[in-house]
Amino acid sequence: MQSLVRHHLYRRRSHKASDQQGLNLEPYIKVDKERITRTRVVFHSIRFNLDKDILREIQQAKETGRHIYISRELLADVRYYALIEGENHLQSGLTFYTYYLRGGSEEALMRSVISTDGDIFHQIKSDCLERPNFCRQIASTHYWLIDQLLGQLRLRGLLRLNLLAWELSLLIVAAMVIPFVPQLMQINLWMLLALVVMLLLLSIGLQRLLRLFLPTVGRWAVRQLLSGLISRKPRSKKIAKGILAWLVA
Amino acid sequence: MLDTRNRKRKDATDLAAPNSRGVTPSLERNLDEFLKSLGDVLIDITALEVNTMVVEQITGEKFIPWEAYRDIYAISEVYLEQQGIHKSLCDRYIKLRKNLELEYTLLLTDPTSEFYDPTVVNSAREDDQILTDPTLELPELQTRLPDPIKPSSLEEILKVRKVLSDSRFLRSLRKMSELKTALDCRNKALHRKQDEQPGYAKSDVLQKAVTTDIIYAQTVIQLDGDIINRYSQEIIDHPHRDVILQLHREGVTAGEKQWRGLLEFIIGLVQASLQRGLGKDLFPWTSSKQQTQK
Repeated sequence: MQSLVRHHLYRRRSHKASDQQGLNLEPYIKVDKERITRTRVVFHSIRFNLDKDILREIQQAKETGRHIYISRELLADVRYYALIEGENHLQSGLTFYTYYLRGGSEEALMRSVISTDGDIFHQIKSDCLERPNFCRQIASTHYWLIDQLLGQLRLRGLLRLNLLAWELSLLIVAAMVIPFVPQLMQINLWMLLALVVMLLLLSIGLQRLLRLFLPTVGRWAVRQLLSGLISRKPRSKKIAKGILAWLVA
Repeated sequence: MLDTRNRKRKDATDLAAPNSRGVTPSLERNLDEFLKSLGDVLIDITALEVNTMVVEQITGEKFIPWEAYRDIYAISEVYLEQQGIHKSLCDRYIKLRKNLELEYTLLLTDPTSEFYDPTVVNSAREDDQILTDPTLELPELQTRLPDPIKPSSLEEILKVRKVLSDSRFLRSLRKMSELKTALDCRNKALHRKQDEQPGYAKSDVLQKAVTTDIIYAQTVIQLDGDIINRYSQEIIDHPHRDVILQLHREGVTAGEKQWRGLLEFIIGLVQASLQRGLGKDLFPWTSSKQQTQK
C-alpha cells in the first residue's frame, strides 16, 4: 500500500515536471548498476518499469509527438553505460528490459540487446503473444523508449561552449570597465557613448578570439572526459561523469 | 581500410611519451587504445542486423565476459553428451565453439591487431583447419584459445584476460553468448516437453511442439542498401505468426533509429576528440598527441 502511495506521488510530481519539457519518466527508468567495490560501479542494463497507467501516458505522448524528458544525471549514466563496459573497456552492447507491473507482481516481457556494430536482438516473452493488442503496445512502447534514450545521447557541447565565449567576453569587459565607473560618470555624454561603442567592439573582438580557441577547449574537454572514464581513479571518473552531464545543450 | 588502421596503430605506438599535464603515460596509452576501439567500431560496421526472438522466459542475466568465454570454450562432443544436450541442438552448440575459435584465429592472423602472430599465419597456409575447412569436426580442432578452465600458468590467465579486453572479440562474444543462452533455454524446453509427453519420439514433431527460444525473423540491412529477410521455418505454423512478423517489422524500423542514436554519439565523440582546432598550439595542455592522431 505504501509503495502504491509513493507511486502515486511520483506520478503527480512527474506530471508537474513534464508540463513543459516533455514527459518525465524518470521514476520508471532504472539504470541497473552494481557496486563492485567501494569506488567501482559497473552498469548492467537499463530497465523500464511500466504499468497500465504509464503505458497509456506514453502512448499519448507518442501520438502527440512529445519527447521524454531525461535529467542530466540519468543522461550522464546512460552515456557512461553506452561507452564503458566493466571497468574501462569499450561497451560491446546495451541491454534494455521492459518490466510490466500487474496485480502486485512484475515480470519482464521484452528484452533488447543493441550492439554498437549494428547487431540487434529483440526478445519477447512467449505468453505475451497470447494477447496480441497488449503485446503490440508493449513492444512499440519498449522500442520507443529505447529510441528516446539513445536519440538524446549525442553530445551537444559546442552550443554550450559558444555560450561560454559570450559569458567570458562580457566578464572580461566588465572587469575592465567597473574600476573606472566613478571617473566615467564625470565625463560628458558623448564620450560615454563612444566608450559604449568601443566596449561593444571589444566584446565582439574578444568573442571572436575566444571562439578561435573553442575547438581546442572542446577537444581538450572530450579527451579529459574519455581518459577520466577509462581511468581507474574514482575521482577522475567522477569528473568525467560531471562533464558527461554538463555537455547537454 | 587496412591502411587507415595501420596508420592508427603506428600513431598509438609512436606516442608513448608522456606529454599531457596531469595525465600519466599509461592512461594516455589507454586513452589511445580506447579511441582506437571507438574508431574500430565504425570499421566493423558492415550491416545492421535485427533479430526477433520469442523466448519462454526473460531472465535478468548479466553478461560476464569471462563466464561467457568459459562456457563456450568448454563445448565439446563429450561435454554436450555429459550435459544431456538435446541431439537436435548439438550441431548449433558446436558451431558456436568453432566460431569462438575462428574469431580468435582471425585476431591472431590480423597484421593490424596486437594479437598478431606470424607463426599462426604460416601454419595457416599449410594446414590450418579453422580458417580453411568449413567441414571441420570439433575433435580434429587444435585449439589456440587460452584455457580458462584449467589454465596451465598465470600467463594463460593473463592471455584470457587480454583477449577479453579486446573490444571486437567482446562484441562477437556477446553475440555468441546471446545465442548460447537461447540454445540453453531451448534445450530445457525440449527436454521438458519430452518428459511431459514421451510420445514425442520423432524429433521434428517435438521441434514443432516447442515454439520458444527461436530466432523467428532476421533482417539484414547492408550498407549499400540491400535488405535481406530471413524467416525460420517454424514461423509458418506459429499461431501468432502475424503478431511476430509485425513486431519484427517494427523492431527493424526502431532498431535502425536506436542504433543511429548510439552511433551518432560515438562518432561525435571520435570527431570531437580528434578534430583539429585553429588555436592548436596555443594551450600547453593540447599536447602533440592530438595533432599526430589526425
